[in-house]
Amino acid sequence: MSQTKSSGPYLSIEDLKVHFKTEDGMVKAVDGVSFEVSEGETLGVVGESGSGKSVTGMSILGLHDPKRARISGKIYLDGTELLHLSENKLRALRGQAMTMIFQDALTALHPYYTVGRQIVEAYRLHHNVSKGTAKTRAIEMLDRVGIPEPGKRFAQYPHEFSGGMRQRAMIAMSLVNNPRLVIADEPTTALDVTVQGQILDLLADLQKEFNSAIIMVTHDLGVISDIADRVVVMYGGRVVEEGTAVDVMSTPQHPYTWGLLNSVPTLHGDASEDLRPIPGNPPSLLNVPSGCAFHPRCQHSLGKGSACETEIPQLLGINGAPNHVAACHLPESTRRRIMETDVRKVEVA
Amino acid sequence: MLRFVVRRVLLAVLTLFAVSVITFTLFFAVPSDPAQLMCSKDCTHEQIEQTRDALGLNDPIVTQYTDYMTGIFVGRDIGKGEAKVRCDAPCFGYSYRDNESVWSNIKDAAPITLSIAVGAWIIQTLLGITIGVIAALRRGSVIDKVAVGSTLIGASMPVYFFSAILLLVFVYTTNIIPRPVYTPLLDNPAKWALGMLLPWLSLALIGYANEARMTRATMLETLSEDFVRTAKAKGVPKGQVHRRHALRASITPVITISGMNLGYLMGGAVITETVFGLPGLGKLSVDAVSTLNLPIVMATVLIAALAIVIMTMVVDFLYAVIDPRVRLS
Repeated sequence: MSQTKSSGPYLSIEDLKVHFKTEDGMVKAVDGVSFEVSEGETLGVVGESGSGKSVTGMSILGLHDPKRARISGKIYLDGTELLHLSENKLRALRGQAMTMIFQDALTALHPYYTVGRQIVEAYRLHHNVSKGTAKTRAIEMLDRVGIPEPGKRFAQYPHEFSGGMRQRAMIAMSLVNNPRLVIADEPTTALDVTVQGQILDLLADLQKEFNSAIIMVTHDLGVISDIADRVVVMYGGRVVEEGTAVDVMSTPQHPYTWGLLNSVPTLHGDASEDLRPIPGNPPSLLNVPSGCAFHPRCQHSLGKGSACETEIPQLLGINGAPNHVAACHLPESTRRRIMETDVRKVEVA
Repeated sequence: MLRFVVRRVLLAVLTLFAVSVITFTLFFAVPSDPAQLMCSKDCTHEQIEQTRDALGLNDPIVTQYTDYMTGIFVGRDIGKGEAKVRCDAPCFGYSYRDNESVWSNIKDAAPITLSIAVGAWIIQTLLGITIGVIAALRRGSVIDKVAVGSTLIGASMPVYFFSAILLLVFVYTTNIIPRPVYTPLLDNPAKWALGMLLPWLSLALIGYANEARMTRATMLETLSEDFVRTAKAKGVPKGQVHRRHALRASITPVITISGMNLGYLMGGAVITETVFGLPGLGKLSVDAVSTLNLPIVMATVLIAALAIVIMTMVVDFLYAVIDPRVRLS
């Protein structure tokens, strides 16, 4: 979808590092990530599990246990730096200016409280209104996200909802305060494909209505191509490629992005064409490979002793598309050749 | 919900019935002759036979059982002919030793046990939950380690040893507290509490340990649940996240333990009552066992079973009240 108006990024992250101290050593879950999102814009953050995408989302809201996590860098929300904000001020922003939609609504909603009560709680935490007013608002939101009979559903418990309805309720709760930034952490992963489409449409509609910024954290490139304006690809706690959804999907520049695209089945693809999964496993964040973290799994690596193994590649612009950046040591011409012949592209909606 | 209640009550009645049948057969199958026990040493064979007949011991065991159960609910006549005595409900028969009615024995002992049980239970539950929650929230800190250590001591300390230490320290050495005696609560509440204090403490330490450990464990588990993270993400203040979201969800297993503890305590705290010389149900039953005073043993076993069955039922109801998912199934 296209933006309405955007005056400077609403959220900007600069050199974010999130390290966890464990018995085995320092886990570098996020290691120097920067990106921006504007109002009305949807940013897709893609990567395998363990790429640091969820950890990044959680640190924006300040949900990491400060005793366990070492966080450095800068996170600006509408000009306010969040990492050094007092717990109280941060709490006032959580659920109000920025909210999170979690993956599995069955575990993310409290099993002992009715859905209505949980939405009312979210609303009254940030609005000084009576329970009655909050209830009206909650029912209005349930209706808005397409839950039939919202008045009756208000009094039901999460386990009485179907998976899709539960995710809608979760979205209603996240959006009840008209947040300007919504972080959706794999919001459709637990749902079947038809429901997934409905939920994505719903998010897109609500975004148009409220002009909020959405960060869509997912491993699913299909979701990204449906909804995202821009894409950040993460690997091993770093950004390896960033650009508009069209650029990243149709002219991907990083071997890891190629791998992701080649392992996605498409409806329009040639049936005889095999899916090609990325060999190997995501790196252990305790011991991230030297140089380019992807090099042990990269088919196009320049080989032993090369820059791929010794030097961390910088995010550099692509010729002709300055906002499309990738971190790869391969010469751009080589990459262009491989990309054009050997990589499946995903159509962007 | 109504179906749930009815089903649970029926199940409880069935359990009690089974317990009564089993204890009845067990005790009346032991190779000891009550008639012999009731007689003096120079009893003749005829006298014993007479007593057996009067007690109904020659009747088939099913008749004996139904007589016994009838006695509990509506009362019955014991003995035959001139020796016939009316025994009003709840009739548990007569003690073999002194021919006193079992029920009057129980009536004397029950308030003592109840006093000990309720007081100890309140202390252990409050202490257990509080310490468990604090330990979980301060996981890994010195407070947590001290708390876990104290529960280890509580769990592994034998009651008789701890009770004896309490007596030694507070009664015999320092005289801070008088020797525990039972004063009825309504006569003098202060004296009642003072007299019960040491038994309470000795039992509370044992019970608190497992409640605290359970609270800590479930609380830690709940704190890492997704819905707790959701609460934080909504902007719920920390204290409320812990109380309203985390504790509420971790309290159910603690209620089970706590409820069962109360059930056990109400059946009589044998060792504590013995150490402190308080003639409650526990002491009554142990004394009865050592003299093979079967009517009393039978009655105390039934009461202990009743306490446990009732508490299990209460725990189940509480589960349904707390967890909406239980209500539906």
